[in-house]
Amino acid sequence: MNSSESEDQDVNIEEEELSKPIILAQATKGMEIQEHSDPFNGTFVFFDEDHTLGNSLRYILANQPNVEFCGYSLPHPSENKMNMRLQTVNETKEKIMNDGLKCLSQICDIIEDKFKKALENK
Amino acid sequence: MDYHKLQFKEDQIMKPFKQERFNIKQFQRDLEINILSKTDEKIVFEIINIDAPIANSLRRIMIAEIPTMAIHKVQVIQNTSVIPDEVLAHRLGLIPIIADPLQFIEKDDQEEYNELNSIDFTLVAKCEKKPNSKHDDPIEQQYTNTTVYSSSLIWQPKGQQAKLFAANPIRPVHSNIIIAKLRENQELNLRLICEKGVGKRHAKWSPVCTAFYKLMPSITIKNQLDAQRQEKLASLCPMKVFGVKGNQIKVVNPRNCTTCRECVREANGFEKDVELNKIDNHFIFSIESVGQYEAKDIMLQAIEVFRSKVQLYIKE
Repeated sequence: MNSSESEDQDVNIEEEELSKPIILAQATKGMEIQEHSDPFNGTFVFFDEDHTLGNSLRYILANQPNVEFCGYSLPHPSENKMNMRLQTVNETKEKIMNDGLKCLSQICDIIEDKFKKALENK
Repeated sequence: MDYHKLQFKEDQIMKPFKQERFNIKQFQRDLEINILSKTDEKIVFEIINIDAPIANSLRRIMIAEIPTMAIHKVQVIQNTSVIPDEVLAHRLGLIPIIADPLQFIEKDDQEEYNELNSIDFTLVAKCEKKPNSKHDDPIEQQYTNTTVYSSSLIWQPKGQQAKLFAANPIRPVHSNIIIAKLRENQELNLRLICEKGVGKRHAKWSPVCTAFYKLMPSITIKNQLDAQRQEKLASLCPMKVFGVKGNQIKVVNPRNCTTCRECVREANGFEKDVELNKIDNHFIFSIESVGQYEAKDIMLQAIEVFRSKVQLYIKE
């Protein structure tokens, strides 16, 4: 009795897995951090991002204090991922990444402000 | 050492390297934006003391990530013209549509069409013989609808759309785009559905004819030249960058320079007297709109899209 019950259970599990949708591409945005254990070195994986965010963020981070290394790459065009490698000293990598993003957001505010003023003057 | 001058020696770019800390307060002090020319369709402005990665990101966003509306699905009820269905659908997709994209949301594949995520058009045209026409008349006078123009696209408002867009009805930007040509008894009867999208997905959704920047050239005349040589140098430049005032030759219109390098070609004999460089933190942007947005709004939208992209990842 027991063996036939477990057989039924095995068949059910297989059916469930077959009916799960196969995700071919991730088109939603998000960020994942690899190497959680090391507070100073790690790779941030951005989904659905490309050079538009990558190059400008890399430029800001590379010119921040306490950054030992910063670089980004798009591993393969079929995959929707952008890897940003950040190695820091003294401060945690999460904090420096967050500061870099805030800095970039401030830059947008400054450019918008000056552009609107230039439009008024014209 | 001029850290912002890019020197071009034959095939190389020589840039004196200086790694600077990024200081946001200094950025705010030094950043300058001047509008050089402005119309509804095209704006030319310069940004000074900004770096290439930021300028490039803005340019990329203007081309590929500002949403607009464009025809996406075509239901063909009747098409007896010589243009195949798919070619016709492709042409229709490229027609720019004036509709404020901020009032719409992007449609999921699973969603139903509703008034918030789509716009309906119909296109009906039949080529028929006009009564009282003679064989000798030109063909446009013998038949109706020999050429189908984008003015034949008729908007079918859904739900609240008629009220929302009463002031600025939804229509194609240009009414004289040729969609197809018909002859006797050929007919087009189509239902068109517009959706919101971005240029990254398909170029039909790009709001700009093009958006590009060039670097400000830095042209200096190193040596004193006699009057005859001054005349020759001024006449060499096809863009009239040099001007002779009194006895002095001066760089009068540096922004016109297209870097054709006529002034520094060895054959012309001035390569030791003229230095042609570019300033690497001075960008002259040119944005030409297709018609859905005003050119200045495209820049403002690009900054907004950039900011929301960045803020998505900030953790407070």
